[in-house]
Amino acid sequence: MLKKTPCDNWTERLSAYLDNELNEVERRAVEEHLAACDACRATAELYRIDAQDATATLRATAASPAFLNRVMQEVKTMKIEETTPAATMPDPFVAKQKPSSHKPNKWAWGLSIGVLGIVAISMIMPMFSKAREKSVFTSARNEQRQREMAQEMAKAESGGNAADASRGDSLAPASPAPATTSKSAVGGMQAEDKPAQDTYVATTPTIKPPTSGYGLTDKIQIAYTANLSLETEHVASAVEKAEMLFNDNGGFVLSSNLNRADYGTTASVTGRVTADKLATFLVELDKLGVPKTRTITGDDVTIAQIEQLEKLNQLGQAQTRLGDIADNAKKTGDELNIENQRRQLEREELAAKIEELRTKMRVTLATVTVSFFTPDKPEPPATIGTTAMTALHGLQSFAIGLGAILLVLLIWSPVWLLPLLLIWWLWKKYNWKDIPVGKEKE
Amino acid sequence: MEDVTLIEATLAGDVEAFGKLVARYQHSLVASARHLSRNAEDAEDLAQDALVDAYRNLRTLKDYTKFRAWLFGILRHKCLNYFKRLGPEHVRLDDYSDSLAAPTPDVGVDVAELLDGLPLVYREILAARYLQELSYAEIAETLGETETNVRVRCCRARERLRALFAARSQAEGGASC
Repeated sequence: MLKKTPCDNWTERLSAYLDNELNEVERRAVEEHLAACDACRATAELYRIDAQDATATLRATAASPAFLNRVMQEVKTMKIEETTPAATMPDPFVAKQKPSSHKPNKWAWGLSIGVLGIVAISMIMPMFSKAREKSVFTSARNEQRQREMAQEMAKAESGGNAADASRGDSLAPASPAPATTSKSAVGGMQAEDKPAQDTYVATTPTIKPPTSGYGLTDKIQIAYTANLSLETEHVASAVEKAEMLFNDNGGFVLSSNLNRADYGTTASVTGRVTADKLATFLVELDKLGVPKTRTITGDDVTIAQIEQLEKLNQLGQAQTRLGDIADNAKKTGDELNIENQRRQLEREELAAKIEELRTKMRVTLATVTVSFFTPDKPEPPATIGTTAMTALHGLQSFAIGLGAILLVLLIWSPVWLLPLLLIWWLWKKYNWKDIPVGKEKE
Repeated sequence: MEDVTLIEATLAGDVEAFGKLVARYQHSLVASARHLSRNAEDAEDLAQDALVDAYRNLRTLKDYTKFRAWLFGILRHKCLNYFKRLGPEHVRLDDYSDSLAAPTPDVGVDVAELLDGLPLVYREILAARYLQELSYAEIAETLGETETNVRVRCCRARERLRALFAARSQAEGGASC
């Protein structure tokens, strides 16, 4: 592998410079560099000579004297088309097309088989819909169990380190039924242990978000993330109110979506609010519906931020040292090397500053995601019409299932039909004649 | 006379005006076809097809000042179809990839053969830049690429060319010793 030299960064600009495709600033920078760097000047000269050689060689091929007449004779026999380009007209401004190594009929076969497969699967899939519903229900229950376990773990840890544990316990409702044991999936399934809605009382969270103007050594830096789900009859208006709440609390909305489906309406809003208003903001949000789940996670970024500041400090010191060395440098080459190193340090410093700013932002602004969903509607009592419709749906499912089985049998007919014919033929040859004849004689 | 004037005259029914356009671009177009197809015998046919198609569909050209780039785009398309007709066995492995290292040229190889040894992506760039004298923006529009990509590709074409010329000089130096 070739080792990269500092001048390799100039190659692209050098090429564009020779093609006269640089803007004024870049052109001046390249000219200054060329004046200072012998190697790049030599490379530029070689590039220029190469281009001249190549151009001269390429232009050596010319049209024959008869070419013009030949073209014009053909042109005179045709007319300029009035309408849109014909199908055969190539569009010159399309993406590059590579010659295909496959014959089209293979693609056609592949496509046909693919389409047949999709049709067969789509016919068979309705038969598994009930199984799928069951699996969704099971996964919702698993999710609920995981949440309960996480909350128990957070409770266990809450007495010790208050820095980076999940803080769901501190936000537990006053009622005996905890908010996080409620249902979280809204796909029409009934949750096992639905909390009593009337006993829920929204309480102010006991967490203390970091205040502005904190120091690094005496106070912990925590980036908070909160997730809530609320049940409400009026999802759309709740979304609007939630968006307004984000703005009122010095924050902003990152994403907001609303989904109206047969089984109900769901929506979610994600945004950021200033961390010192997080507690009151969550209480305000709770008023928009019946809280079902709430998880607050605090990520301790104190060490990370100290490391970032230390790195920035070291980079600053290194730059000062390099500046001193550059002042004492005697050779032009040394100065260039030091300049390159200084630029590298500047880039590192910029990256470290951005990272530090990002961490600060995470601490200052907490991320909150709130989900809304409508409560489950009780199933209406069965009428003659609905019974008939159910029967019709059942009949339809039966027909689709039967069709699918027949299709599968048809596709696999070469496999099962031939052995069946062979067995029939063998049975006919050895048994069919003997047994009935013998019985007749008896 | 400007391209725009000649195109307008052609569209008004003056076939001789198109003849002037053909006379203006015939050499660079045939040279480009030769360079892209690597075939001197088929180059004129490809250029002729491109010019005839351009005449027939002249009304589809929206910006008359881009006639040269448009014409080169049609020629490039003709050349790609030409490769299709030839079949995959006639397409070189390095035509669609620049990941392979530049081969060392033999002693006595002339510049034309060296240029033929370049992958198609670089031959396109050389033809567009040095034969058609298109700007990076025009090349980008013709090839369906971004200007930055074209700039990078131009640079790589130069580097590849330099490597080929240097390798040839080295080979010739070694042979003469």
